[in-house]
Amino acid sequence: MIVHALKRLFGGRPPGGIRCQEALARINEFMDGELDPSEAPSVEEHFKVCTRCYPHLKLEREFRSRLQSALQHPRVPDQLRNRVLQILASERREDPDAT
Amino acid sequence: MVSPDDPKIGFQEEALAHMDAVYRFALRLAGSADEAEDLVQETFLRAYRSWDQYTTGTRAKSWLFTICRNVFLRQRERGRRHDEIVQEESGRDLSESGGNVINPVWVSNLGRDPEGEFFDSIVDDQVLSAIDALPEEYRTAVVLSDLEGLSYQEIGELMEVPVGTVKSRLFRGRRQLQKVLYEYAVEMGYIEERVPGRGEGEEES
Repeated sequence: MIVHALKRLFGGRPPGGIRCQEALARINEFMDGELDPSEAPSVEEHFKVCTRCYPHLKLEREFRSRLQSALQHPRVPDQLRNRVLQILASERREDPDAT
Repeated sequence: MVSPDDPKIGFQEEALAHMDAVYRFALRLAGSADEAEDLVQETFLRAYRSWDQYTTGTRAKSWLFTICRNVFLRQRERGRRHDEIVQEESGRDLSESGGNVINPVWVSNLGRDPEGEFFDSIVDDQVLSAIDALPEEYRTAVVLSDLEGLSYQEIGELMEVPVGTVKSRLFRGRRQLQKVLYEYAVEMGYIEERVPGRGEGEEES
């Protein structure tokens, strides 16, 4: 805190040239790859350098990685896949001229 | 089976290739395997019938998700399983956290496991039931973004809402999930409950 206060007092530049508040407000867009290309480098630099904001990024990364691993397992059961293929085949037979 | 001389040629390569993804999406929409299977069947039947409306080379997966969600919403409308949006969205942009950019989970968890490694202790079933408990609008946005990697623009087109609303739904959905999972981790003893004390807080530059 003291270091930050001194930096501010003596004209120190915040990490990436943006304040923590601004970086944190963009954390989702940053992680989703949706930031404007002109903004992305500043936000990236901020999270790399700012030891207080970095844990926020880490928290979001852990969270998303957990979501992805929980969600990605199920595969279509074989009997469902076969049923869909059969339905499509019979659809084709019923209306062979369909476009 | 779709034969190579089928006038719907391309359906197999472009649409059927995404059956796993549609099934995963349907599972999260419907909340049960039986309903998800019905959704998948109906989705592919409708997709097959309207294959001539699909523009080859565009993103077939998004197109299938759109059909799947429309089928689901229509079925739900009939059965009226009602979800509520927690707060009115009205299309307003929300990086938008209403000024609340600090993740409350991070603050609650200060000094315990601030980087969120506790998420790894939570079993899949718990994560999935937390996702399934989200209102459909949030659940769809989160699954399409975090699992399927769709862009805000693609999700907006699929859900027929502006990009600002997509951001808002993602923000709220993720926050809600984080809160539920954090509380579960505390309840299960994966992390200690925070005892409020002096000097705990966050400083901003």
